[in-house]
Amino acid sequence: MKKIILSLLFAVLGFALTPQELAVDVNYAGKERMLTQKITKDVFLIALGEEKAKEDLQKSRNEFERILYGLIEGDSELGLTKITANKKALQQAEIIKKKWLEFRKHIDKVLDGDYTQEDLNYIKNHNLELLQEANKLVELLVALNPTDKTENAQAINLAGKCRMLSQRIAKDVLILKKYPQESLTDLKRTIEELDLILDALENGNRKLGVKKTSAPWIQQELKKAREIWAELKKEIQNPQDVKKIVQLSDQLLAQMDKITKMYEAIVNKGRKIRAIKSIVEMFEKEKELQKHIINLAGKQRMLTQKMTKEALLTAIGYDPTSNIKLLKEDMELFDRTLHGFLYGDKGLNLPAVEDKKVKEEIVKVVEVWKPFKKEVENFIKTQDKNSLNYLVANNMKLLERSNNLVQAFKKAFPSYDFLEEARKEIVDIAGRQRMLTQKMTKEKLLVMLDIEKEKNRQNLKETIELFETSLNDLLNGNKKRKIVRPTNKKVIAQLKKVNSLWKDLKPIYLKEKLSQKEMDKLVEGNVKLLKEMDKAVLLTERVVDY
Amino acid sequence: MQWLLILFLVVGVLSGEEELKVKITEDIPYVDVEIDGKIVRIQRIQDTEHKLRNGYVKTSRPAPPFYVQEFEPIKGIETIGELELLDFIQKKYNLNKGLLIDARISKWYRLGTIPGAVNIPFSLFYEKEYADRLLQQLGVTIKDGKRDFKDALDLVIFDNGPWCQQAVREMKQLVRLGYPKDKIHYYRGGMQYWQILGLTTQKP
Repeated sequence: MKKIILSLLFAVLGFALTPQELAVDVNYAGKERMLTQKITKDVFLIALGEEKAKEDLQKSRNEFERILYGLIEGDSELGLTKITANKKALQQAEIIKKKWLEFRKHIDKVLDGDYTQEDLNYIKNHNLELLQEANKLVELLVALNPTDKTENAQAINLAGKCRMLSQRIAKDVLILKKYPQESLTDLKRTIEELDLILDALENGNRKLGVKKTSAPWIQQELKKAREIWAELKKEIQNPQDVKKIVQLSDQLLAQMDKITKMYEAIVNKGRKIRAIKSIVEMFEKEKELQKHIINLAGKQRMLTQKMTKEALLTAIGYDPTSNIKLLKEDMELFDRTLHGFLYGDKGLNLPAVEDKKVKEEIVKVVEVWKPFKKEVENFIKTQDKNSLNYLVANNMKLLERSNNLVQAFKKAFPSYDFLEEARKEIVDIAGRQRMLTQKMTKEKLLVMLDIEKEKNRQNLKETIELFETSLNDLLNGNKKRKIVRPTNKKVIAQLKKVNSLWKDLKPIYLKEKLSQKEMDKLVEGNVKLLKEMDKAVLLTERVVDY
Repeated sequence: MQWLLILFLVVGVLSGEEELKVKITEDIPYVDVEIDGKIVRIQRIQDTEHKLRNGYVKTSRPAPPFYVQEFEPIKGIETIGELELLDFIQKKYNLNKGLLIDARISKWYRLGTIPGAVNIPFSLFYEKEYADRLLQQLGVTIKDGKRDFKDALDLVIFDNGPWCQQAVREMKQLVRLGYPKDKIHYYRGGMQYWQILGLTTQKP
């Protein structure tokens, strides 16, 4: 059973983990966009005589390539998962690879210091193409993520795009510096785009699908980004100091990277908490199911006594029609539950038992139940005295084996929670009280029918004592039996109700000869006592503070 | 403790906000926590006549099992107070670098918790399959059955308060599983102290 529950759980989790892996891929694909521009910027810094930029260029070149291969083949160190599961994304990554390999040839020439004007032209004319292809991959990966709240995903995407734009601006300025005849269109477009996105992130923009963030810490960082951007824009309008432009664009890149990570943190935290909740929920469900199984097993104990009681009531001629009907229902319920333990029963919410020891105990119950059931069926049809005698003689054996099964289930479902364990004990004792209500009625009837009168009179006395002591312990606590005195008002009220019913019924159980009225009270009263005890068990299970 | 100093410097930036009658400290009127895309404000109850009416007014519970916890029940695990917890929410939780864990059984958790706390009942870490799945969500990597806690998240764990054993049991089990002690922090005051101070609680 545990295997079934866990396989279900892991199926759910398998699904839940995918977006996390995907988020890493989206982030890296987004970084590729930025790197296309950073690489180009570094190339033109070198072309303008800034040899120090070579180190940065080498680093960015290697990083771009590692991420690209990581996306295609996976890279555990980077936490990148293969995107092979999605054909379109993989095809797109292959397109980028093809274009990159061509682009890289010219980059490597710059790094080796033997580049020509043609190499620079190639880089100038093809960097945006590479950027567009990288952007397509980001969009494909974002679309794959079904659980993201689109607004947050879009905020990550836009903040990530700003990282790229910060580098693109510097690159555009450097290209203009190198080729003053070039059109200003690209630069203007980049400025407009950065203006628009920063404003969208700060104030929200319906068209871009992004709301103003409610997180004050992101608002603060966006304000800082806006300040850097204002300074950068001022420099661009009068581009005397290219180095300062590059420096400010790098500052903006770092700031937007920080903001992107903050948006990502919100999304990833949400995912993580959802995943944790689903694990805890599954754990709770498993525990609930275990309680349900133990409760049903406990009820079987009660049914062994109830069936015998109903047969005896029929035998003394007390409302035989109703009692035969009840006997039939209880027999069917006992049989169905037992079958359910072995093979599973959807209607009873029972999975098939897998635990070897529990199975052995079920088989032992079945051994006693089979002939017992046959005699119940015969008694229902014929009210045969021999069948009744069989039930009287064997019901305690069935009870004993049913009780062994309860204990086997308890062992198979270990509890590490001492509070729940203590409560389990209380639930078990309260649950046993249900069985005792039926057992004492059965024993009373056996005395009345003169069947092993003295033995049953003694049994009745012991059952009454046990019921009474346990009820008293449940009400007032018992250190030796590790029963905590309840403090919950509802639990106390319910137990007092049971106690009051019991006080009313007890004298009838002790009386030798009963009038018809007393007999009616006993039969009705014991069912009522059973029901109210059942309510007490349920309350004990459910209340938070016992 | 370093967090606390930074907290005083950072959180005070709340000019233009409505002045609260009952602040958390002189410099901290409230702390915001992000929960599922929404911001929940943690502040103190403003009614100075307010009294608790729930189960936390109880002074005594049956002991055993509800004995009073030591101040530092596990050596190496830092015990923190409310201000450190609030700082943790800002510096770690909001930025997905740490997790706030309510270690109580879910029946308790559902009645109300510290905003942002996720419920991981302590008994769950005793069952290997569940424990490993959860540890992975806490940043632990598991390869060939070996657990690597290098990227494990910082955790703050709490329960009902100093009379409750659930957080301590959860921390003990986490340490048994290999979780680094310096990444675990124990908020001993728990729900009892949190509510005595009138701090915001939330029903999940």
